Amino acid sequence: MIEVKELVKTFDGFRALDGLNMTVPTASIYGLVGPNGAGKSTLLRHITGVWRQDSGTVLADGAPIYENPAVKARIASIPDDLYYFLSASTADMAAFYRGFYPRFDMGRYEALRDVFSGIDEKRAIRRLSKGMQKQAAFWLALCCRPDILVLDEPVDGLDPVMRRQVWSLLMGDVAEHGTTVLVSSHNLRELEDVCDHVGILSRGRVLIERSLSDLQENLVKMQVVFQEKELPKLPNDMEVLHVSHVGRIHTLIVRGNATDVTNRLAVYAPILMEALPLTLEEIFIYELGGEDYAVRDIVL
Amino acid sequence: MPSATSCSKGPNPWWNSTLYFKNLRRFWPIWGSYGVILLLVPLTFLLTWLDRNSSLTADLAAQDLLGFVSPMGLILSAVWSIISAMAVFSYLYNSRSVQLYHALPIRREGLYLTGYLSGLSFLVLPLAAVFLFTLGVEAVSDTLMLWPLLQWLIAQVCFALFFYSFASFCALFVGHIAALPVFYGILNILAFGMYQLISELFRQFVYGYYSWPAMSALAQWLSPFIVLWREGGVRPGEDGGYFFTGLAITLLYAQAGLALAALGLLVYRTRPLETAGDVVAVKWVRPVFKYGVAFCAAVTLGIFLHELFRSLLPGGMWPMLGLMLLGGLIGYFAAEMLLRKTFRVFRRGWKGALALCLALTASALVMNNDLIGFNRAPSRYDVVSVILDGPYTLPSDSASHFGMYLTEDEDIEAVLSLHRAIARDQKMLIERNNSRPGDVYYDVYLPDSPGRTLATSMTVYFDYELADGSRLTRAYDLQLYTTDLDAPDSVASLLNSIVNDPDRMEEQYFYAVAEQDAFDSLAEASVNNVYNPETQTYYNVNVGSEADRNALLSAVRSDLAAGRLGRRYLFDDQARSDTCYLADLNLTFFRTVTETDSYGQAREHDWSTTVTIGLQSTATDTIACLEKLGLIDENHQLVTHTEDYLRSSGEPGAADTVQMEESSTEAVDDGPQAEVIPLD
Repeated sequence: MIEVKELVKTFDGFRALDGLNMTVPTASIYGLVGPNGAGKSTLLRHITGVWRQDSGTVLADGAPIYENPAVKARIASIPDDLYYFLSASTADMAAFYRGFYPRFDMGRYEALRDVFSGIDEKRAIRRLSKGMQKQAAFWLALCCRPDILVLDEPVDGLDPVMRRQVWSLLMGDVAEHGTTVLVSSHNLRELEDVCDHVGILSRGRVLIERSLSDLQENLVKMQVVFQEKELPKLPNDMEVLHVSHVGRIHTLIVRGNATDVTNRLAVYAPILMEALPLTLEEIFIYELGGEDYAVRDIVL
Repeated sequence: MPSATSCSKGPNPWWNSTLYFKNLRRFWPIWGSYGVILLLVPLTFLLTWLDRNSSLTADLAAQDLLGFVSPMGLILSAVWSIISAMAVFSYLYNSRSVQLYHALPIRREGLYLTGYLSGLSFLVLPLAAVFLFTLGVEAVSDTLMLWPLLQWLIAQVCFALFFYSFASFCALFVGHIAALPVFYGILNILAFGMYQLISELFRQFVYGYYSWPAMSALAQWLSPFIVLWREGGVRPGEDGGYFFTGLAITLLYAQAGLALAALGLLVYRTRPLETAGDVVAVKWVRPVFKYGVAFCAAVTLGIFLHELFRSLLPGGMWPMLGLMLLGGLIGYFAAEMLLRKTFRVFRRGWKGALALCLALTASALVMNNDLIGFNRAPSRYDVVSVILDGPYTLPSDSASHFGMYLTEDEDIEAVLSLHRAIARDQKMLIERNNSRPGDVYYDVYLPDSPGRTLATSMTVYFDYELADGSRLTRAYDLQLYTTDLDAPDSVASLLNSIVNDPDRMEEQYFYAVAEQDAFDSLAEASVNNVYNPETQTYYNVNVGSEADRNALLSAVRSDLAAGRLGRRYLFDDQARSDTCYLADLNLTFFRTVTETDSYGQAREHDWSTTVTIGLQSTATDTIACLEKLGLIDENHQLVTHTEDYLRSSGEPGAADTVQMEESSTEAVDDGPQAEVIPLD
């Protein structure tokens, strides 16, 4: 389990992480989402033990990660911006990682050669395509046999088949070895398919952190046609995040579970009413709407 | 599918051999090229040995090896050290490589130690290989001298240890790889450069500043490249063999290198990695860098611009200060731009710029007004000895440049009185330096313009040796007027009495002769500018025999001892013009001396010196001797400056009416015994 408590990181007076709290359960796939500049990459660099926090704690299974080789030996990461030695091939990097990670698994390296068959492992990685470089990164990271895998925009650049292949491998590790995967991505549709927990970051804090099902149960999209054309005055304690209408059909994004919200709207005797689940992308957009980060209608 | 982990042990947090060998493999061109260049020396030995027409001796090989250490070995070591440090710590300057390295399961100490030792290996391994190769070549060619070869190895390893540690230390402060060699180069000579800059600053603002000996010595020690360069050399041993002279100091700097390496580790432990790409990576160094650059720019640009526009600027402190402020602001904002990586620094940086200007102005005011009592003379009890140097006096001869090492109480007190008088009158003396009044003249006395106030300018140096072993130096630019001599406690009067102490006259002229104990080696004597009224031309006359030369020398020494000769004049005034002849007496001493050279061998060489003495009308013994020797008579006259001026300005019969003194007329015998040489 990864625990982040009251994490603060400041750059020249700007608080990139502002007392951030987060918990990533063991053997889960945790999706970290947030707008640009929310602090996702900064957070991941603390979780991989690269940067030192100004204050707060970053723990893996109760032990601090920073300057703790025993813990870091159990963590593998794939940053959004990959780096390899100038002329190093995949095989060279495997040998390099093998010298650092005690659990580096050469057997798995051999086995995964079939999965990543498009990679010439003797060829310098920097001469490979962006997608191939990403594949090489997965190949090497998985061979480290990590308990915690930290991924920053991991499948960016991979083709759909390889994406599916990579996610399959990751989910296999989670299921078989209890690997914890922390993944930061803007591809919410994909995260929705693979994540079981989601944290939404905004302005250096975790805004919401729940399992995906809890998150989806907490917001509901209601499509309602009232008898009157106009939207009736709704109760003050009903937290409506967004309202729109097309003709007489009103679409309401309301905080609460579908049954409760349906019952409360039923008192207005609507002609038509339907509760729809929200996608992760919609949850992201409407939750951040309250943080002044809504999609704005801009006429150019 | 079976899988096996390659290792079941936990990671070593302090060391990683994979990284060490990776560095060796990645950066092989660095240690390879270093080794190839070092190999040239033993290869030369080998080729010389194989060449039938050349002969390789053990002495020659030892001298060549140790001669290579400095400066060539020193330069190579300094250059390859920074290249090695740039290579092994290059990952710190790129945020992507920082992520790769620092996500690895190893502590910062481990990364540093592994990187440090692998970089050091780039230098030491080639040295070890070349040592073995040289050993083999010398053994085969029967020229082996093990101790010089070992000294070569020790010195080179020590150089590597120091310069590489220093480069590594610098590497941890910068955030950009291009900044590293710049910082390294500057820091190697920074102390020396800063001392020069501060000295120049003091010279501009502090009246009397000359040098700061203690700081100068410290600055040299803190400029390792300069010290090692100066100290390095080859010296033959008393019992044979050869020694590298800078070995002890090299060992000392190697220890300093180890200390720097340890300090580097402390810096690395706290280095914020997010500063990769910045010019300065460590937070507390940023203001040091910013204000350091501003100060250097203030002094260098200020002085440069002041020299450039000197003719257009008034004297005094303010023009110089204004230009320094301009230079300081340019340096300050340039440093801000480098640190912030933007040109938009003026709005955010104005407070710091204002603080810089205020600090510079306050410093200039304190220095210029001597608020710290800089020019106070030291206490008599603190002074062991003093060197007083610099006053230029007339006549122009071997004693014109006064320079004395004084240890007697009376002499030291006289110098201290002079120093106190300068401190007392410093405002007036500074004022005189900045503006020259129109009623004083910096030319010579003219008999047809009596009563003019004449002036002279000179620089007087004080170099005290103090009781605590330290030195105190001052240098004063003085503008002195003839009217100053009216007051007995004026600077001019005190200086006049010091330079005219008859006890020191002979020493001033014959210092070099006395040092060689060569008064019996007078080889030539001549008098120039002897006037012939018949032809109205000036001649040189030579003294022919050794006995005559020695007689003349005795007369000169007698006059000097009695104060009849050697009177010094601060001004080209009437007394000087009436007393001093145009003629100079030249005494040349010559002998062959035996000295031990740097290789311990006795060698003979010729030594000679010529003492020029401006003849004066009061030197009765000398003039009598010249007359006796027939060097001067009615047709070979000594002419004073006044007489010469009156003659050349057309006064009727001025020079022709020169009265020979009674004794001289009597002393002329049958004819000149000396050789007479007409002047062109």
